[in-house]
Amino acid sequence: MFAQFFTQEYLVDFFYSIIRMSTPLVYCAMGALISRQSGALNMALEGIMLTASLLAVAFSAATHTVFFGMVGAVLGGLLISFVLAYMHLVKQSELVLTGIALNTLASGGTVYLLFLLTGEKGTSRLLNSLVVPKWEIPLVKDIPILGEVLSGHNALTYIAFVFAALTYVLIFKSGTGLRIRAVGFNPDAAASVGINVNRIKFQAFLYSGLFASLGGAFMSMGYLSNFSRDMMAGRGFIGMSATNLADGRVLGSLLASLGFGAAEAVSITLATLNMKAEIVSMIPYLATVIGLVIMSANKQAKARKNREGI
Amino acid sequence: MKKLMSIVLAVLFIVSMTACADSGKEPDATDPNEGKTHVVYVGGTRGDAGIADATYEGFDRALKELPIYGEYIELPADKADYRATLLEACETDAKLVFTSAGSGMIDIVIELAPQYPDKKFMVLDTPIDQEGIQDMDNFYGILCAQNEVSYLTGYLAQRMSKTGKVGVVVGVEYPVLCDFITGFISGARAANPDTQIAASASGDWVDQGAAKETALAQIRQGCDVIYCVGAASSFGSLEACKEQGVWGIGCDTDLAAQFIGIDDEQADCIITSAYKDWGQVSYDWIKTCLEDIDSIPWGTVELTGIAEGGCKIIQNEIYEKQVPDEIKAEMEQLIKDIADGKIDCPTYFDMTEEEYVALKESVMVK
Repeated sequence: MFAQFFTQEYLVDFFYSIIRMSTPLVYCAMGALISRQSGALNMALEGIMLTASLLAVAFSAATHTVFFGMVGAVLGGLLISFVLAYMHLVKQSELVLTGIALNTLASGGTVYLLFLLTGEKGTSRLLNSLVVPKWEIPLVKDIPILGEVLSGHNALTYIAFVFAALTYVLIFKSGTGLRIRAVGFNPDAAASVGINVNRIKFQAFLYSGLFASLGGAFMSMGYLSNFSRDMMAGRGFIGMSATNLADGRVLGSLLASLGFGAAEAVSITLATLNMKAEIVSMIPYLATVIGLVIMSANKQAKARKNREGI
Repeated sequence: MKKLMSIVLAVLFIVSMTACADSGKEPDATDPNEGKTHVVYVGGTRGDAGIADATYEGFDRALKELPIYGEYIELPADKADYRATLLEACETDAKLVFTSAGSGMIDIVIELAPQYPDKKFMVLDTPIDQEGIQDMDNFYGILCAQNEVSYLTGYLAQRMSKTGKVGVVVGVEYPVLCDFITGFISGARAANPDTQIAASASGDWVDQGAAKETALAQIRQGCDVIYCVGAASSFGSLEACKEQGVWGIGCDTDLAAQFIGIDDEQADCIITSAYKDWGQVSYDWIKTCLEDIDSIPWGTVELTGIAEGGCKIIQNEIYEKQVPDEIKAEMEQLIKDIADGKIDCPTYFDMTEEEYVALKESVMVK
């Protein structure tokens, strides 16, 4: 029964699909990571990605350029994260509630905008939008087996890994990153040395929206070729858990995103084997919960050890 | 700034008040709806290229051609609000209310209908063995014989397949969808007893990404015809068919027609669609209600299949172009045989759960 899954051809496709499915999670995890480092939980990532994916389609259809599609996505992401940052930091609203409200707004608002643009509420198929091209990586593509898995992905997939590296540089190697981490670690201490805490947090939210928005663009211009209502389907939250799982570390978040992508791929493969669909579709979420529990147990054990040490 | 804002709001308020007053007067003068029957359609969001669109089409035609008036009330995305939406429809003075059974709607209708004895309710896609309706004189269910139309698509899929492996992607596997799968497997088996079939659910009706991955996983297993039964998520599985160069079969409405002229490459790979003619069914029901309301067997669920015209496979220009003549002739014969009752299509509703699982396992892709 499982023998069919252990052919070379199948495995190559399987691992290829893991990378594809992880891409939106990687973007989202990096976005979540930046705001987490500044000490804030960006709950609106789902809404940010959804808005970005619609604007990506709308802009690319209007201008017939992939580049402006990306610009549209980034504008959409920045808009939502700006509202979130403004409401939370300037107007002192509750962060989590504002995030949830923005997600709801994005879910309905994108359908409304879609209806204005196309007269349909389901998908954007009437818009002649573009798709980000796939890239063959020279040299890598000639490696047997591994080349087939790693090469030929959507350009945005490779850019996701570049962005993961950028996140590392931004947070751990730059002055801005140092300030973001200082604010996240102890806002009062940061303020005492003259850092404008709100301003740094505001910046972190905008970076967070910027990174996540490309994940949204990938969904509607790479993974699929059009926008459809609620197309994120919880990917924003899974990406966020990936970061929490890795406790805000870059490599860990990246691996956790790949792990969740793999869980999704496994669940889809198992579904073709007449496993009960309801059980199978639980796998990615179950993996999230289990991961978070292990994470938290580890943390507690470490804290206990520290206490005992003193 | 604040002053300006308050002035604007005040003006808006006054304008809206007078606007309401105006519309309030109108019915007194001449009621355009006098003598007409009030009909309400409570349906899913339009633009799903599925049941909601097809049904609305029939309702719209009825509004234009029959002496009725009424409105379409859109169901909210949140299922928890379905009840409130149906109550809203019940509180109008409508004589006829119809809706679709999906996602638990059926239970709400059965609960509320007895409280509104002056209204008649019709529910599309009601399971044939629905409990608790036998004593109701204002409830009527219609079930489309999806097993018959899926039998046809299964047969066609198997005949078009080179590998002998075909797949079916559904959104969520509940009884009506199990009936789809049962019909599809039976049809494919009729064409080739050794057929192998991957049948999987992608998890929901909107996530195109999951539907696409599910279809890709089936194609990876060697399936080269995919039957996409996923409402709006079907667009994802059909996209997988386009990318991988395999045949796709749509469902609910003519999905190829949605792409002709917009994305011809996509349209070209959708050889047919299993069409549930909800528009016609709804139109006919409204018409019958107007003409002779007692002729409808209230308190029962009726089946409409190939013979009755409730469903069919789409034979459009793509079908004509892509399907070889030999197979077309076989399909014609098959349609005739099913309509004449010569072929008895197995249905999920006659099976036990064990028999259904055994059927799926007997054709599993190896």
